[in-house]
Amino acid sequence: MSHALRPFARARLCLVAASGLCFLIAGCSTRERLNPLDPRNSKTNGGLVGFNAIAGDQNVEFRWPALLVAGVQGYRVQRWLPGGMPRDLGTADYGPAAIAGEDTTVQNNTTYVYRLIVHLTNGDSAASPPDTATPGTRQIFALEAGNPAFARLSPDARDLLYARAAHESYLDMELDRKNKVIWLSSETDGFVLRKSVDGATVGTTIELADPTDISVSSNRGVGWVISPPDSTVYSYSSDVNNPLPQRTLNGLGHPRVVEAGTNDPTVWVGNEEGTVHRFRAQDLQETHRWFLPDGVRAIALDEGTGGAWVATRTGESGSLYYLNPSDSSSTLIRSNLLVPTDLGVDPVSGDVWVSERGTPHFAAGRLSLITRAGVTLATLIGIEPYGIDVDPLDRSCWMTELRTNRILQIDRSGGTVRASPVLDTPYAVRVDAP
Amino acid sequence: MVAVLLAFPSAARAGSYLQRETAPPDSSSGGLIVETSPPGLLILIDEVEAGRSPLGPIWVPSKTVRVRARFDDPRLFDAAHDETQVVIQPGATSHVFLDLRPTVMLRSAPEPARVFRLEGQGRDSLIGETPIPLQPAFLEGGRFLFRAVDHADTIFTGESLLGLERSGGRALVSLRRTSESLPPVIPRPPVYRRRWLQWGLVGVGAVLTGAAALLRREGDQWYDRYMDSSDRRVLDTYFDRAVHYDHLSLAALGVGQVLFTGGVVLLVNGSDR
Repeated sequence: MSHALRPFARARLCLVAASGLCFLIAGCSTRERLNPLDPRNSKTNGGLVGFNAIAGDQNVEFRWPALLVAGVQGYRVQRWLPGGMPRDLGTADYGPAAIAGEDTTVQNNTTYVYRLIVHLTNGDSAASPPDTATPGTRQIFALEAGNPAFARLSPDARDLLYARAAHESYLDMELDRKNKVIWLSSETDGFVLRKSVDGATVGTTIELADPTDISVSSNRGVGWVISPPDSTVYSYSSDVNNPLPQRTLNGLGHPRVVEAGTNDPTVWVGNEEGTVHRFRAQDLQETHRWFLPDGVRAIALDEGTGGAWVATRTGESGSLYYLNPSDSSSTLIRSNLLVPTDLGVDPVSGDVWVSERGTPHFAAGRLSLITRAGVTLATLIGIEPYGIDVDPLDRSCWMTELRTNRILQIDRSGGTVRASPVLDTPYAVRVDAP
Repeated sequence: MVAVLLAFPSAARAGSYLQRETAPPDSSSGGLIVETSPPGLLILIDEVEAGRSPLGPIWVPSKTVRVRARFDDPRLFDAAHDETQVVIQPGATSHVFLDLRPTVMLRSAPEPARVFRLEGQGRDSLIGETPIPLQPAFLEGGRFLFRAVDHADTIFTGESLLGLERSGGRALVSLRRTSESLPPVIPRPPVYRRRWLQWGLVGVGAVLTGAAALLRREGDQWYDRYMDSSDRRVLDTYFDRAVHYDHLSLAALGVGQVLFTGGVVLLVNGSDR
């Protein structure tokens, strides 16, 4: 019996050995063409990768990864205007160990094209793909929800300057344009942070029960913060080292939205019950009160007339009202809004940008520019907008877009002007232009 | 040795040292006749000497008795075959035959030769191969075929075989040679059974495996040169050399492992030496 099985056992053994050999050979990975200068490197095609021109204010910063090959003699950056010819920047190469540089000979709001050239000791050279940068004074801040963070983009929104991680997603963000301070509310952690434009926390943390909406009067730097558990709106001074409330607004039901004027010295508070209160800032005297049918979701002040745009929502449908203190009227401008999330007013024309998210994850939202008379000037669809802000320079709209996870700049005709790199679920944006 | 108990219906008188009576002494007794081959053996009934065979009829009480035949030379005593038990029926006569002839050892020239018992109609039954001991009673009346390679089939009757028996109890049958087969060629053991080859496989496999590591290292060195070089003109050369050494390394490793494993397996399975 054993003699009869022996040939089969031997055959099995050979089969196992052959299989093991096949696995051994198949498991050994082949070499990859990873030399960055190799034209057959599928990732670089022989060019330099990782070169980045980051726009600043009156300057452009360059960064590139070190080229880890022998024979690097130096780097040279070339610059040109779109349509022009590349020209060397400066008169000498950066050294072989350099990984960053700067161009301070730029003018704001001009778009430049840059590329990096590496000079090799064998006389050869390689170039990076071109990168553009538009320096300017614009400061763009954003909140991210995926990995909760407070982030800042370059003036042309093409690069992420920093992302300060947070314990939880901030609920709201407002700019104190006068003092260059960003206010951030952290609802679950129960505090309000104030940060400088470089992302550092400044002053003393304001501790408050579940702070939600924030508004800052950029005229005086006074911040207004809603605390739903207290049914109170607290005001804080512009002194970042003073965490104590200065004044309070009580008896407002379930306050949801607060908006303080900068040129118009008023404070507006909307609540879940659909009531909008208007207070005089200096003495907190309530001057007006409107009763809307649905809960208030957003208020944007039209400081040119002293009025306000108000978005209300019930379920997934919303309405847009214009409240006019001069005659205490409330005018329904638009109904059947698709989950309105934010409003932004063009300070020059008083037109309002309306962000309608639509059904989440279906790109069924809409961004509209609507005049005081209710005329729609522009509409952008097929998107999922969330937070918006109006650009103080060109009156365009900056919009966080959850379908592509980018921040887009939309001009008044509805065209996309700029787009940020992909962020981690951006949901709020604020833009300043000192 | 086979002991045979036979009840013969014959009414022949058997010789005995005992007095024979023509009629049973009473109705509870039965008759007993004992015969042996060879005759003249001392018969013991329940260990009581009853006379020499053939014996009887003698009358004994109806019961089970043990009948034993004994040679004069007690060394030939064999309790297993020299005795039997008999049930004596009242009023009836029982016959006992004890065959104590020695077995015949059938031998042949050449040996071994297969021995068949011919039973007619082409039905032969194989008994065994010579040398084989057989009972004379088995041989009597039968015909036996002897068959050996290169020799003619030969048939003997049982009586002729018994006639060939000599005093040593052996019957030798010589078969007639008819042909001569060449001795079978003993195949040489396959080459993979050679111990030197098995150790050679292990050694070559080990060497190739070691060479694979060296080749791999050489490939790594060429790949390092490829990764470190900024001269595009030599990148392809460096990379191709690295890949070339990789292939050599893989081939050496694969072949080496096969040879090494195969050699070990053959060694473990043993060799013909």
